[in-house]
Amino acid sequence: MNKLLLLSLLFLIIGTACEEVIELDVPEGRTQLVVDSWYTDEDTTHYVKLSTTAPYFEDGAAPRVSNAVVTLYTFQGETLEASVILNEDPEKPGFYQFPAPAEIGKGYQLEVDAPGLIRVKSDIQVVRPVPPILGLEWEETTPDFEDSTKKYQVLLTTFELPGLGDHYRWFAWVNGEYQNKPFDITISNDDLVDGAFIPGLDITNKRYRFGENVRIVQASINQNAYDYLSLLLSQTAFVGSPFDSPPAPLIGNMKQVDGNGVALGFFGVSATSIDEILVGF
Amino acid sequence: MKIYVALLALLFAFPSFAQKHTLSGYVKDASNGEELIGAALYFPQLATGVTTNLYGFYSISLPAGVYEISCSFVGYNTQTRTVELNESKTFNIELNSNNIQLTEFEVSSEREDHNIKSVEMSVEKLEIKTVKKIPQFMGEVDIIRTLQLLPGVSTVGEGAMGFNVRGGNIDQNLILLDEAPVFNSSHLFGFFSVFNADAVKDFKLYKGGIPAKYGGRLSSVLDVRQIEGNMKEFHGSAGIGLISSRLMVEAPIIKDKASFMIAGRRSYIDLFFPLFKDLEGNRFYFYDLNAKVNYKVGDKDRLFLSGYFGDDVFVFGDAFKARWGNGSGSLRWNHLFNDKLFANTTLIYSRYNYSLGVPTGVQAFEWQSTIQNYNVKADFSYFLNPQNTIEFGVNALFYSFDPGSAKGTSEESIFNEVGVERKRGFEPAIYLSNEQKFGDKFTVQYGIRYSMFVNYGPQTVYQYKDGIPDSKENIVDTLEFGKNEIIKTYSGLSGFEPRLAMNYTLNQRNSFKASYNRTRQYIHLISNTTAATPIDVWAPADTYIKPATVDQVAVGYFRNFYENTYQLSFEGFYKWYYDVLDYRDGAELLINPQLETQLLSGDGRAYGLEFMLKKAKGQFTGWVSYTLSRSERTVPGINNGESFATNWDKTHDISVVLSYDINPKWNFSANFAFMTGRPITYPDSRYEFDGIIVPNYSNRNGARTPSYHRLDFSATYTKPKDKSNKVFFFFKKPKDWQSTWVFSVYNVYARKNPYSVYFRQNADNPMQTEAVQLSIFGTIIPSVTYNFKF
Repeated sequence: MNKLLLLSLLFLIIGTACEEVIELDVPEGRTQLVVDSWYTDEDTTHYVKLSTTAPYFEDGAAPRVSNAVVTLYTFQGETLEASVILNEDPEKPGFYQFPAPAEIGKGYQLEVDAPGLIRVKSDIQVVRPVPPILGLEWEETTPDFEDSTKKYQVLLTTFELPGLGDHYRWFAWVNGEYQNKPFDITISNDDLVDGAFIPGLDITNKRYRFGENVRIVQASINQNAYDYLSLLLSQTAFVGSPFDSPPAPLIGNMKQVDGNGVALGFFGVSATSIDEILVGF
Repeated sequence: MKIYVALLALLFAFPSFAQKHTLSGYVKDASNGEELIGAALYFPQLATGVTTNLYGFYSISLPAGVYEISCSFVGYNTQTRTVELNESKTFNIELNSNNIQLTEFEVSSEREDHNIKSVEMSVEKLEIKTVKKIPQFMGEVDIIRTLQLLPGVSTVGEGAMGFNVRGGNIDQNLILLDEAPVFNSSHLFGFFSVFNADAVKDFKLYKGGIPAKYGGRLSSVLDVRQIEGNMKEFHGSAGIGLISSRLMVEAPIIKDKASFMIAGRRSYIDLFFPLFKDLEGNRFYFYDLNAKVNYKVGDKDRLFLSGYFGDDVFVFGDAFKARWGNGSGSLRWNHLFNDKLFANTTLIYSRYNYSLGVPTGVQAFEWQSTIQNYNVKADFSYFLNPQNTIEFGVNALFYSFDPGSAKGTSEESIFNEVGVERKRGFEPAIYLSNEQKFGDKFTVQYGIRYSMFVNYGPQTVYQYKDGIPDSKENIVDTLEFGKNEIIKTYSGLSGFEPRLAMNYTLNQRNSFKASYNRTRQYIHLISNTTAATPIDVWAPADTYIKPATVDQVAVGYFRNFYENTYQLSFEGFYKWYYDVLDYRDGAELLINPQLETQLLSGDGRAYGLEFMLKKAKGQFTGWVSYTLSRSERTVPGINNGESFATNWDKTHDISVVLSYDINPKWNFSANFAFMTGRPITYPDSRYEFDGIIVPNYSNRNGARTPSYHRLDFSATYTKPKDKSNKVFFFFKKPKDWQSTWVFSVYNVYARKNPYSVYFRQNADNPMQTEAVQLSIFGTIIPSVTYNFKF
């Protein structure tokens, strides 16, 4: 239940609110390290992406950070099992490759030592179990006012693991394209649905066309990943209404090894359950 | 011998122990019997006077003699009467409104030097008829929007609920309707207030120098009183506007003894929805219902019963429904113990609640929250002598907070029940104050209020590691408190709230004033968004949340020119805030049983200069008001512990209101408002995370939106009385029939005033970022209202 989304809807109906893009000068801050990594048990190649911040209106890809020493520590409970240095992909500067996918039950800790920037280390992220997607189905919905092509919803059926304290994230691909706009961040905790059977949930809240291929990954995440993503959602998606939360810096889990600094971004781990569907077939 | 002479001399030297008698009574409106609040009775022979209290009652003890009394009140003809005082007696006066022809006792002057003579400062008071002439948004006469045109009062923007007074948050205003607190004074996100102006008799805003009889909120008191109801005849008024319509009727139940007033208002734009296919099945409206009955039991006793109910309702077909609203009632008993001691005892119930949710389907849920308030109070006025008026009283408030519960509502619903348990509080207070005149130049009102707060069970309280509630993960123990068991008390020396106000009158035209007050607030509105939302909840002081305190000093200079035609006031204030609440970044405030882990506490300050020049008489009236101010906070944990501007900080706030009575039929009015933009936070860099461009913020409220300015016009046409005896073609015209048309235009030059600026990725090109300015009104908004009285 997104309070802000609901309120913004109410507000827009009654107001004659309008928006316009304006030119603005914003101050330039110092350069900070950004660690972007999502390590899952999916059988594919996983990366740690290192970059830095850039001035706000400088459009273009973020500057990549090369030649950093990136170390992955693997834990079983409290015991350190292994540590391995991740190699930078020669064709993709700033991308450091994990040797293998993550394993359920293991704990992972990432350390990054980038030249000219602070040395940071994450907390131990444990890969928690995830319930399987029991099925995906498509269903026709009412067409829009503007065009009459048929539109479909994709509904997911699963169940929630009993015991409070589970958190989830869903990733989606449409026709092979990763959905990564701010509103595509889909997360949930289990406060209201602990142990429940979830039939036919419209998880992506999108309308699809006939023939689109929709691939959904249901992933387990840790509490601090959920908190980080909630804040990310409110800072990037829920903007533009009078009910916005105050802008705030996003503090992830990459903390400076000797000092009080932080790197931006987050290192998260997940177990996954994957399913895909061809809409209309 | 010498001793005897000395003794005799002493006897004559003392003022004679001449018999003193008390003159007391009520001042009322001659046409409808409404008591007049703050009417002045001046005794020129003694160069002293008295004013009527909140119930229209006055009392003064004078030596026996024959006195001339000059009784005046703004909007009424001043009456001069003579009274022979050889024993204590009651003397009631009925004043005629200045629309009526003068009788031999009257002059058409107003009590214009009230601003010089009274000890009150930092007070804003306007007549309802002045408020009705100002150009209004959508033609809806609105007290709170009008208050924003006065110095020291502002909002964070159009569409923001509540109002800010001298750097205070919207929850720091004690809003009273016939003494019952109103928790949310807005309809439709702040576009309209809950006060139907037709039902309002009087309103007064205290921005500082708050008298001891008020307490519980830090920054201001808005005391709104409803019309009692015409004691003599049946009358009413109504209005039909583009957004809403209203009707008020008042009449005696027993002539000159009991009367009632009932008023209602409803918006109706949603009645047109079925005409539009996409809007069918949707509803959205607000309504207000005000009612009052008063009964004069005898010469010494009077009873009043008031009620108010109002709601905002939204329904989106089967997808979503919401409603929120206030309900309050008060039962008051005025009792005259003797002609010097006036008492008012009140029983009050007040609540604000909301519910919203999805009515049907798998995701059906309902989410509700309520705050309730039960209050018993007794207020006494003791008119000791012309130099001393003593006020004292007690107040006991019981609060019940249901911060929120949500549950799935259908068979198939996937949602379990989740909620935050009820919290309870008790806030008793007592006060004593005296307004004392020293000669005719110096008046002081000094007083003390003592308040305390008890949070009691049943309730669950979490204990955290090292006693610091910083995270749910650090809970080390859970304590269960039983029914009526005391959990936390705030009392002791910090409960003393001294109040002091002084007036030094140089002469008829000039005075200096100064005031100091300390106020305490034990309940807080939990909201971290720029504008509060109707679903924000109130929380009481408890184990982890402390009460907040403010110390305010103000000084001012007041001057009238050209026989009170022009009134000038110049005031400076400084406020220190202690223990105000703020929120962690990303705070989860809704339905959170461990709310204390999301809160931070800090201090603040606000200071400023307020200037107002008003022309009160003549065909051409109006005012210019200018406020220069600063409001900031320092909260460990936010902005690296450095001070930052509050969301409602406004450096410059200028309003110009002009009203011109061209002739008895037409009046033109205009108002112009200018304010500095409000503080916002800009990003100082950007980065990529998971394919999203994220703005990086570090400096809270370090920048401002562009400035706000707006011009509004209105024209009022009062239909002259004509010979016809029908109205609306069918009905016989009542003898007091009067109709007016009000044409208004809001935002005449269609400025897109920035409400905020936010930052986002371009929809088509995600690598590109842009700054977007959000305006609430981007166009000119005209409207027409038809009002009539009968």
